[in-house]
Amino acid sequence: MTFALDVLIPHYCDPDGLKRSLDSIAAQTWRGRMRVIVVDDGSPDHDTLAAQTHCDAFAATTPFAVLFERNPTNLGRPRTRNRLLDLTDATHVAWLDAGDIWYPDKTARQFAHLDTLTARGVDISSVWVTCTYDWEQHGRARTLSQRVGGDQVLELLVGDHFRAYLWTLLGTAEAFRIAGRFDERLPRLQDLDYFLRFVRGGGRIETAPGRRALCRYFKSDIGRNASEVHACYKLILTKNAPAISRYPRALSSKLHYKANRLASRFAYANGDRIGAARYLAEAALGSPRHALLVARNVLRSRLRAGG
Amino acid sequence: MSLKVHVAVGARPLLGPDAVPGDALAALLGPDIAPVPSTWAAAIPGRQTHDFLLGPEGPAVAIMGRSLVRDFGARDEPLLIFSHLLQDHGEGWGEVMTGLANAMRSHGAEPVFVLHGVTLDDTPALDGLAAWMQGLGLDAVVGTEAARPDPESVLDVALRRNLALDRMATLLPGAARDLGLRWRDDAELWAPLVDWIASARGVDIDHGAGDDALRELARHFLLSRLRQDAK
Repeated sequence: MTFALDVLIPHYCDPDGLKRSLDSIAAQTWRGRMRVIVVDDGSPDHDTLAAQTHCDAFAATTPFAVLFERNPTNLGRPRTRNRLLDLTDATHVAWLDAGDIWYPDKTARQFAHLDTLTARGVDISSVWVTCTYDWEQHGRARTLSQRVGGDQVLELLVGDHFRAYLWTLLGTAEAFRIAGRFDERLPRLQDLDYFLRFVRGGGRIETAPGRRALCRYFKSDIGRNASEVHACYKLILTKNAPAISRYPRALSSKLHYKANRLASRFAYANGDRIGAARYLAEAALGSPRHALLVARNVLRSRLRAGG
Repeated sequence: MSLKVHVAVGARPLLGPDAVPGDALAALLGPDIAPVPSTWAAAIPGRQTHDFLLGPEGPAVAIMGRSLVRDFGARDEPLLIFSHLLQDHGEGWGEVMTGLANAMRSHGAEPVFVLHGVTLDDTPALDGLAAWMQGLGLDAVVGTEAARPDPESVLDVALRRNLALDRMATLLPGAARDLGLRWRDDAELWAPLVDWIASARGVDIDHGAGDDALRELARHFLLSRLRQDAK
């Protein structure tokens, strides 16, 4: 096996977004061998055709190979990602979701960081490299860095300064094998579950140095089913209960609050105000101490902003 | 799989120790050639030298060999810049070159080293270097005999600046004696000298400066060293 990078992209009904992603891959300054693998998750024929056309154009105009596959029906994100894992045979793996973009030096900077780690004697076969990223929602973007120091299980669970986003990652194929396969019971939040499995399995996540973002995520809550998100979050908490029980009880309370708060946000974004209120009430009743803390902080920040 | 690895060499100190603009040098040598970014070892944005591979700390040669295979091949062929390989090739450089080749082989690539002579005037003698490398069991061929940058181009200025810095360095022992300092033969002031010039924002050494001006500059450099040591 010679050195190469496989970029794994799941696609569903967003050929224009896929094109944007492919254009950003074509602009990478890294000069190594790269193959892009796209698995279309059973999009309607016209979207699949458009996606394949973009892939063909990419292969014709760049030095990079493309493999385009299609699921016979819509199987969902985790099964599509597992199929992508089955198709990869490169020494290194990176992920990108159709619609999101990499900035030109993302790959080069992350590979350089792997070399830095190797020079320091770190075994990179158990390392993923994440990066600072731009988060765009409602046309507004902010730059978020990944705080990878400290207890990574705790930081991932809390998710305030270290977030589980697959499209930020680059690592060796060996390192990705630590996390195994995506849990097919998780149509949502499978990134978080995958990251937690990696870290709990002995993996370590590092970040490429620098404050500048290396990729951009286009966030949308619209169309995401709140109850599905809620159920997935609860399942992740159940799966990781042994790990969570090692921390003070306040963490468990906070995480259950977060599960309801997140579902409430998705419900609200999709126009379900009653559902949003119900999740919010569950958050407050199930984790009253944490709800009070959040309310106090919100009140303080509003008072500060007002005066 | 064979992989061409371009190697730029030249009369010492044309290509170093102050790193030269890597992209400009690669463009001079041919299309589809790109300098190897080694930010993991020496963070000099846009300027490259790979001299650190000689006597490295840690697994630098192995990492570089792996990078040559991994980071190149789709768009460009890699370029390494060795400022004094042409003059000093011997046991140390032999270990670097064979170490690089072995590392590349272990990752599935057979290297073909293509030698390029960078110059401002004379044509460097590359045949001897190629023969030496072949004697090490390496596949080495001569690419460009004498690559000359366009006058006043970015690369031309950088190379002439290196020559001026070298002339200044040769005047340091005399300047030290004039100041009543004893000069040690093993004094290695190249790196501090380059840093000192780099820290002088807004001004730079004039590559056309005469010996008197350079001697005066050398005196100021030595005085700055004395002040630094006194802190």
